[in-house]
This record gives sequence, C-alpha cells and structure tokens, in this order.
Amino acid sequence: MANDESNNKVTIFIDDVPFKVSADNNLLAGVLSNKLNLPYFCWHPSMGSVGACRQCAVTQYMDEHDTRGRTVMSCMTPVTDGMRIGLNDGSSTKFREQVIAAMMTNHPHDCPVCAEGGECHLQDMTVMTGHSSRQYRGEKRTFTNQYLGELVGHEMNRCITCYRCVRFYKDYAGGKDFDVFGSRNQVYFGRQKDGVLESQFSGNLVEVCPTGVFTNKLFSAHYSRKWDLQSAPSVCAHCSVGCNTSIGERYGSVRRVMNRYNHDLNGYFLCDRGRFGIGFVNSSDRINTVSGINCKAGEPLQGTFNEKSFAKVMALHHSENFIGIGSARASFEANRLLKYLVGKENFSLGYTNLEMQLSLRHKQLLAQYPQQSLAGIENRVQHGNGNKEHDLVLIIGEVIEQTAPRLALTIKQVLRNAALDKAESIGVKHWQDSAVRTYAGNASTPLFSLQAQPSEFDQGANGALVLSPDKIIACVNQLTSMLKDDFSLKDIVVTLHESTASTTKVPVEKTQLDIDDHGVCEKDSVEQANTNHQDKCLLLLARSLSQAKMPLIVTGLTLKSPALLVAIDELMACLSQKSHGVSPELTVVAPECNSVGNLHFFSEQALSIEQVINRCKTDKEVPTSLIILEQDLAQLSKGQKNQLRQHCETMIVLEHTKSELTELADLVLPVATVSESNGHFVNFQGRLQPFVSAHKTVKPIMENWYWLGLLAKHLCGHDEVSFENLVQLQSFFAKHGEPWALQVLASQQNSQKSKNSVARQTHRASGRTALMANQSVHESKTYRENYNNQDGFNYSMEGEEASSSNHMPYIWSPAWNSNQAIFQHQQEVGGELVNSTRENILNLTLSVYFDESPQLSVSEKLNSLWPVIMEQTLDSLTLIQNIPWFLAEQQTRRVPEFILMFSGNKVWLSTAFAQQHDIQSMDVIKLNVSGEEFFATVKISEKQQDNIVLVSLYELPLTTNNLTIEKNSISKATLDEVENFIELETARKNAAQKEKVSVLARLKKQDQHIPITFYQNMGEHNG
Amino acid sequence: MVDLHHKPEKERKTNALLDAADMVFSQLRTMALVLKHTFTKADTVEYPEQKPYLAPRYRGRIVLTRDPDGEERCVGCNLCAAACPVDCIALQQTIDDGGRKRADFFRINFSRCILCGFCEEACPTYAIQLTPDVELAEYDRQNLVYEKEHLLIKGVGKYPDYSFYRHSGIEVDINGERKAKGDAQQEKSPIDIKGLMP
Repeated sequence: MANDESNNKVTIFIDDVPFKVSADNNLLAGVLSNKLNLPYFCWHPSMGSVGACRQCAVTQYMDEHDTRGRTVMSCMTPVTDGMRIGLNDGSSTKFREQVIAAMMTNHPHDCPVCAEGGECHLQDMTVMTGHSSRQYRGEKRTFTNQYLGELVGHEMNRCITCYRCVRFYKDYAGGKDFDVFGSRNQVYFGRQKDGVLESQFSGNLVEVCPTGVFTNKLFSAHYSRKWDLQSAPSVCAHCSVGCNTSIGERYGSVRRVMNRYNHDLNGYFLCDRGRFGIGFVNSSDRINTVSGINCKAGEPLQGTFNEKSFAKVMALHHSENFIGIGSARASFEANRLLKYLVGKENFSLGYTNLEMQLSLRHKQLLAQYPQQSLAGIENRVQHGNGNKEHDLVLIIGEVIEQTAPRLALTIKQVLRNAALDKAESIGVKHWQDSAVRTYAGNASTPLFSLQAQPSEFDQGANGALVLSPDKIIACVNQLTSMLKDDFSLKDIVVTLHESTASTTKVPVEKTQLDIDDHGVCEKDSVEQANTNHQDKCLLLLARSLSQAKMPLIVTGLTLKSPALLVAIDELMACLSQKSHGVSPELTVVAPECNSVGNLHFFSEQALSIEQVINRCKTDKEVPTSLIILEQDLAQLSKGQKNQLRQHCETMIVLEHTKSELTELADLVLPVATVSESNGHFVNFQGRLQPFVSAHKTVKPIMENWYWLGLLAKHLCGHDEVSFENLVQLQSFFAKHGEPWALQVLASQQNSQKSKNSVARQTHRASGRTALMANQSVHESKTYRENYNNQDGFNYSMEGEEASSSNHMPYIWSPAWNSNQAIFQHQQEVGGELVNSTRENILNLTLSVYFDESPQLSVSEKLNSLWPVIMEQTLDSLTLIQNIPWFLAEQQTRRVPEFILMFSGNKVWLSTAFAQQHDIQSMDVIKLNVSGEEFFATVKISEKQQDNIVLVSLYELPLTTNNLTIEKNSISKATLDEVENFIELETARKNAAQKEKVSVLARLKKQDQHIPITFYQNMGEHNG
Repeated sequence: MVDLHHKPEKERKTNALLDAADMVFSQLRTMALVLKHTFTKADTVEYPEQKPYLAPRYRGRIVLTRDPDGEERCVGCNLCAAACPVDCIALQQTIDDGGRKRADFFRINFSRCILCGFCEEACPTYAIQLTPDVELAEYDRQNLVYEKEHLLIKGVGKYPDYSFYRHSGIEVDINGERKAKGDAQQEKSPIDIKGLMP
C-alpha cells in the first residue's frame, strides 16, 4: 500500500469512513477489496460487470450534506476521488433485501438435497441481507432440466438469472454450445438440446454459478458437504501448467477437486481434466499390495507392512547393479532421491534418444527465455495500461487446448487485448464487460497458428496453416529469414507489395488486421493454391510480427521434433535482437506435470531407454537390474518391454496403477498418488510448487520417496538415507548444497505465520465420534499422530485456520461459505493472496558439455550421445495424434466418465488419400503402427494434407506422435475385423460404465469401514 | 458473619440460648416430618417395574421417521451432523434409482449423545426426531452405536403430514410414480422455453 500513487488509488467515504480503493476498478471491487461485506451475484472479478442482478446496490451521496442520496449499482459505478456512498444505510439495505426476496419467490425448496448447500453463494447472500422468511404465497416457476453430459448436472429451477454461466462459458471460455434462451422471468440457460457440454471448462460452471443450477455430477454421486471435507492444497498432475487445486477427502476417499486461487497461474478457473481427472485415484486398477515378497505365504498384506521381511528379500539383490528410471509424473523429490540412490551414471529419465534430444532443446529454450506465468501472459492486473500487452499470438506445433487447456483459456483472454484497448480508447473501462463487447465486437488480437492438425484457434485466426511437421519447421525457418530481411531493409514493405501484386492486401499502417485478410487466407482452395496460400499467410505473419511490439509465441513438445525447437530458437533470437524494439515472449508447453523438473536432472550422462536396454544386454558380469519409478515406458512396444524384462536381472516397479510394466515386474511396490502424497511438481515455467496429501495412505501403499528410502537402506546400502518425512529429505539435499532444497526449505519456513500446523478439516467438520464408531466406539485424539509428518498440516479440525497458510487447504471466511470467499484473502480483488510468498523458480543451467564448440556442434554431440535415425521414405505418411483433451494425459485415461465421453477410435484421412485407397467416410480401417494393429472409423477431411494421418486412438500411447508410417499400413478392415472393432468399442464403453458403478459401490462400502487408521492407539483400547 | 468478640457478654448469652432452642425444635420437626411421610404416598415409583410418564416431546432416544407415503424422510443433508455439538452423528448421502437422496448409512453414537435435540431442530425434513424413550443403558458401550436400521421407525413421528419431496423442486419417484417438474405443491407447470408468447 506504500505506493498508492502508482497503483492509482483514490479515497472514497463508505458510511463516512475513508477507504482507499483502486480507481481502475469499479466501486464493488473497491468495497470488497477493503473486506467489507456487500452482496453481489453477477459480477465476477475475472469477467467484469454487467449489472444483471441488482444485488450490489449502495446509496451514492452528492456530498457530505446530502442525506437522501440515490441508489446505484456498485458494480456499474466507476470510482471517483472523494465519492461518498452508504453501505449500511436504511434504503440500500432494504433494497438489497427486497432483491433477494424477489429472487427467492421462485427458488425451490431444495437446499437439503442440493449439492451446493453449505457453499452456496445465494445462501450466504440471503443470510447477509437479512431476508429470513418468504412473504410470497404464489406458485413457483419451474423448468425442465437438460442432460449436459457425465460431468455437470443441471437443475434450472434454482436459477436466479445472474447470467454468470453464459458469460463464462460463451464469452470468457469461447464455448459455442451453451446459451441463454427465452425472455423476462422465463430465461433459460442451457444448450439448444440435450447433450454433452463440449467446452474443456464446463466444470467451472459449478463454481461460477452462485447457486446450485450446475453441480459436479461426480461429486454429487458420492457427496459430502464442504464443511465435512478434509482438504489439502495440491497441484494438478494432469498437465504442465501446474494449476493449484484443493483436493477434498471424506471417510478415506477422495471426493472432488476444486480450484485453489493462485494469482499467477490458474486464477479462478480450472480445466475439466484437472477438476474431474482426479477419478484415477479411486480406480479399480490401483495397486494396493506389494507383489513379489511374502507372496508365496499368501499373507494378506493390506493394512500392514513388514519392513523386516522386505529387508530380507532386498538382501538377496545386493550384488546387482541398479539402473533407476525416473518419471515426469513423479514428484521432483522422488526423482532426485532415485538419482542419488543409483548414481548419476545409472539414472535415466525414461526418455528415448529422440526425447533426450528434445529435452535438451527444451532446456536450452527455458534457459534462454524466461517463461511468463499465466497471469503474466494475460497481463491480468495491468489491463488498461496498454503498455505491456501481447499484441500478437503465434502458436506453433502445439494444440494447446488438448495439451494444456488452462493455457488455452489464457490465450483466449490475450486475444481480447485488442478489444479492451479499443474500448479503452473511448474511455470504456475493462470491467464494463457488456459495453466492451458491444463496442469492440469481435476485435481480436492478431493470431496465427502453424499446426499439424486443426485446432480450436483456427477459426478466429488471421492466418492458420495446417501443415505436416516438416513443413512447419520449414515455415518457421522461412519466417525467420523473412524477418531478417524485413529488419534489415526498412522499405521492405514496398518490395513485398510489388512481389505479391494485388492478391494480398497487407495492412501497412495498422497492426490491427482486418477480417478480410483472414478471409483471403482461409478461403483459398487447399489443393490448388496450397503454396500460394501458405506464402501469403507467412507474409502476413512476417509483416505483423515485425510490427508487433510484444508478440507471444506458444509452442510445445508434442510433435517430438527437436528441429522445430531449434527453428523456434532461431526465430526468437532474430526477434529479440534489441535494436528491433520487439520484446517477444515464448511459452513452451511441457508434456507432463513434472517434465521441467526432470530437465534439472538432464545431463550428458543421463541414459536414454535405448541405452538402458543396451546396458542390460551387454553388462553380463554384474547383473543389471532396474528400479522404475511411476513410469509406463509407453514409448516402448510390447516386444521391447519384454526384451527389457528378459535382459534385466530384477525389475522393481514403483507404481500406483496397474500397467504393462507392473505385470512384468519382479517386485511391485504400491505408491501413493498425488492426493495421498507430498512433494513438488515443476510447472512449464520451472516453478517448484508443493502439493500436500489430502489423506493418509493405507499401508502397504506408501509415498514414493519413502519406498525409495527403504530401497536405499536395504538394497543399495545407503545407510545415511533414512527419512521419516519429506522435510528430512529436503534437508538432506540442502546439506549437500543443492539450491532447490534450500529454496524449498526457506519458503516452507516463511509459509506459515505460527509454529502450529494448519487444520485440513474445517472447524465445523462433523461426525468425529461416530464415523468409525462401528469399528470401535473408542475414539482417541486425532491431533497426536501428526508429530512426524512435518508438512505443516494436520489431519484434524484442530490447528491453525486455513487462511493462515499461503497454501490454503480450502477457501472460507466468516459469512462467505462459497469459494467467493477468496476475496477476503486477497490483497485486493483479483490480486495476490494476502499470504503469498515468492514462488520458487528452478534454476535450469545447461551442462558445459552442450556448449557450442568449433569441433563439434550441439546437434553432432547430441547425435553422438543419443543417435536418432530418421527413416525417410518418399511414400510415407506422418501420423499425428488428435486425441480429445480429456484423454490427452495418461492418468486421466483411467477415469470412467472420460472414457464414456470418448466417441470411439477415429482416423482422419485426406480426400485424395481416401480416393486413392477407395476408403469412404465411416469405413473401418486397420492401422499398423510400429507392429501393433489398431482399428478406427474413418473421417475424411478436405483441408488435410495428403501425407498426414490424424488419429484418435484410445489404445495408442500418448508418446507416439509425429511418427512415420508406410502407406500400406493403412488398409480396409475385413468384415470380421469390423465386427471385432465394434465389439471392442462397445466393450470399452461397457467396461467404463461397469467401472463407474463398481467404483461407487466400493467407495460407499469403504465409507463404513474406513481403511485409514486415523487413530494409531485405537487397537490398544480395543483389547 | 457475626463477630462474637465485639458484642457485649449479655447479648452473647441470650444468643446461645436461642440457638439451642432452635436446634431442639429442628430435631423435633424433622422427626415429625419423617413420621408423617411414613403414612403418605411415595412420589418415586418402582422403576423399572413401573414407568414414569414422559411428555411426547421429551428428549430421549433419537429415531428416523418416514413420510406419509412410508418412504424414509431423511435426505442425508448432513445438517444434523453439523449441528451436533458432540459430533456423534455420521452419515453418507446416496441417490437411489428414483432420484431420491437418502442416507447410505446413518450412525449415531449414543454413548456420546447428550440428547440436546439440536439435530431435530436442524432437520429440514422432520426426519430425525427425539422420542420419550430414555432407556439407553448398556453393559457394552459398543452396543450404543446405532445404525440406520436401528434408528428407522415405521411411523411419521410428531409430524404426521409432512413430505419433503412434495415440496421440493427436484424430480423424484413418489410411490413408484414420477413426480415431474411442476407436480410439486405450489408449482407452476414447466415453462415452454420455445414458446413465443410474451
């Protein structure tokens, strides 16, 4: 608050008390920023004001002598210096009460059976306004509901017409299949007809809706009130963005995931993969026993773990040489410990040669170009200042709405910068949502995309090219050279105009591109003027790029092309030369939640999978064994996996869910999932983010680092490694002088105000003396058992309140039971959290080995270390994955609801290819990919390049992408095969349906026999 | 307290005499009363042979009642559990095939219950009610843990007419028949959103 001037703060008088508020925002935001209670519904800090609900009324006075004042809607009122308003005066209080009374005339008598009850914004506001009994005696309006898919439930009777849902879904997230219908008090929010909501962000409707019109179906099926949930601050494990989540647990099972506000990253919104993908932790495929030891005795191992017998078995393998294979979905700490355990020359990241090369290029990019957070990309705070906004977006080779949906939502906001600026130019502030949209229309920041497959962004793009990966690289290189020319020749504009004659209208003066240009680009027939079209787009792009002040380039690793990253590096280098006055920014989407963390362990000594297989084959003197940490090795074919199995002596797999590898392993150690364990994930920026367990594990399931500690002690003879908790592990590495550990420990010390731990449960949590009473009536203290676990959180309602930590397990504040309570914990509405501490950014430095030297270039070095053979045949096809976003992560493929949403295996072929091979749309074809057969229904796409095959196959591992296949590997399926395929498709759906039912049944049974020993001394009482 | 030391001697003597008289009287009165009670009827009853009268709204053992249609009233809303000051109620909500929400399990640990009646007050559906039965003694505490099957009674308890689902706006089966939108009490029939009438 020291620099009020720079923050543009003014003083206003609320009930004659002076308050400082921001002049850039509306009055409601100012009042709430001062932590005053003012009811509202339709306003949302991210979506601005429309003044639809009339709830946030206050009285505005002319001056200090004015006693009557006039009622204004605070969300629609700009702030002026010295303005006087009444918040608790008679007339506005009465007004607000009457608004609620009017809303309640039609609100059904549903609270007891409504999933929103207990965290309902409407309940909170009703209590806050003092409306306590209904005077209306007439009949209530009703609506029929719609089926909106497996994830979101619909109950329209409860609607209070605040318009938040449609404003989020359609305006903010760009969804097309949801709208508002009808008029007056018959307004209906839904789809045109029943059907699955298509947007990746539909789950946010649950949080955005102030009441229970939209509910989380998965949570409702196994429901718990918010006050009963034991929550922990967690980090989403389903993509590299690392959105902050809050995982809620009750009776020993995970119930739901909610958004946890992080100003820098997710803000108020999560994608559905993060929200609903948590289902994998309750999967029937979870491993909950140790297999490999004690098996012959047939002892049931559930609930217990015998370290002595484990040590005995481990002693048999002392003499073997162990190679550790880490993983990008295991925590940073676990990977670090594994590397320590086996030594750096025996450590592999589980990457193939190609992926090793890719990782190096990725690391190079990260080391050179600091990655902005989502808030930084969106410029979330400084809207209206206009000085630091992205004025061009270029997406290259990464379909971000599939791989990092939350980033795609951010990009959609970046595209609005132009509209916001346009509105700003006539004095319409950014928060005047409907005014901005009315005035600026669909003015959009220039967007270009170079993709290997069609993407959601193509439609609004000024230039969208769908090309084969090789051509994308060529285009990027061409773009770089064009830019180089462009920068060197100031009068290039003229030349360009001459060369392209009159076909392309390149705007010279404006950076704002007209829709006409886009039309020209799009409408060109693909077959005839392919290159022409491409050139035009590139030209337009080059022009726009050279004129842009702060372009944003988004790319990723899904195309698995190191050359693409090199090309982008060159493009960035060209753009960022200071003399050009362009400050470009780069965002690289990493494949998995901890991929960037793994880059930290990347060195020239790291082994690729090929090298691991080789080592197993050749080192015959000392038997080579493997420790595999949460890794599927999906890049390997079944044959290769078997080969690996044959050649290694012992295979120890630490895994939470059954996979092909766990079937092959000698010893499977069940590890905890993200909801049950502690650790850090490193997001695409390099941000080290801690996640905390929501509930304890059921032995023998234990946290991955704990297993590794046991392996270190009993297998590798590292007696110094003996960790009771994660803090000890971090301290151990801090003692070795590792900067990340020092950073993490320092921030843990700062994170809490008091020495006491924070309660994971709310103060209102119920049922403590009854929830396990059927097992034993003797409950004991819950507080004591947390001594060893120094994560700063108690499995109890005892402890510091949630808001005292900078990682709040859940969001609550007095009188605000819904997630809207977050503003009470923000410095100002939509800003940083009160308790926020600086995030730890992992310092990525490249090993000296990879410096450019005159003798050997980096690529030569790379090829000598991890050789990649590029098979190029003329008559080949390139296979590109086009899997829907909900299946674009390995762990979420276990979620039955997602499998039910999947419309079946599909292949997109170009018209020419289909004609050549006499394949019609909806035919079933057989596809041979690296020795394995897949079947899929054909779709024919006109725009597609002839040498590209887009596939969406459930069985194909995600790591397979940009793969060269022979043309003859696609053939029409025989009748028998078609039948088989249809059978398989229905079998998959049926299995998912069955799994959904059986998981629910199992969890409900478990509710009454909670497997977690909450109370360690319970047994003693029982005797 | 009277400080005897500061009073004149004479006064002290009279006081002592009065006290003595008082004591004797008290003894005699007590004996007379005891004698009188020997011949009057006792207020206490021979429990357990004879039961005392407890008013219908007396706060004793908790039951779960049914609505007039004979269906469980409890919708598993968790309000009783939240209101319980000793946290002795635990339950899990479930949705049955007819769309009704009900308790999957409902457990009261009567060894903790203080019979305060907060749960009854909190219950929005009149499901949970306290009865005049106070006989909750057990040799084994474990036997004081009541599950849903022990709590559920056949009748409607103190509120004979109330049925929550006839008021609520959600669609459910009542007596095997679908209560669609608009069928509940005080509801208009569903709006035709495609209608053009103003």
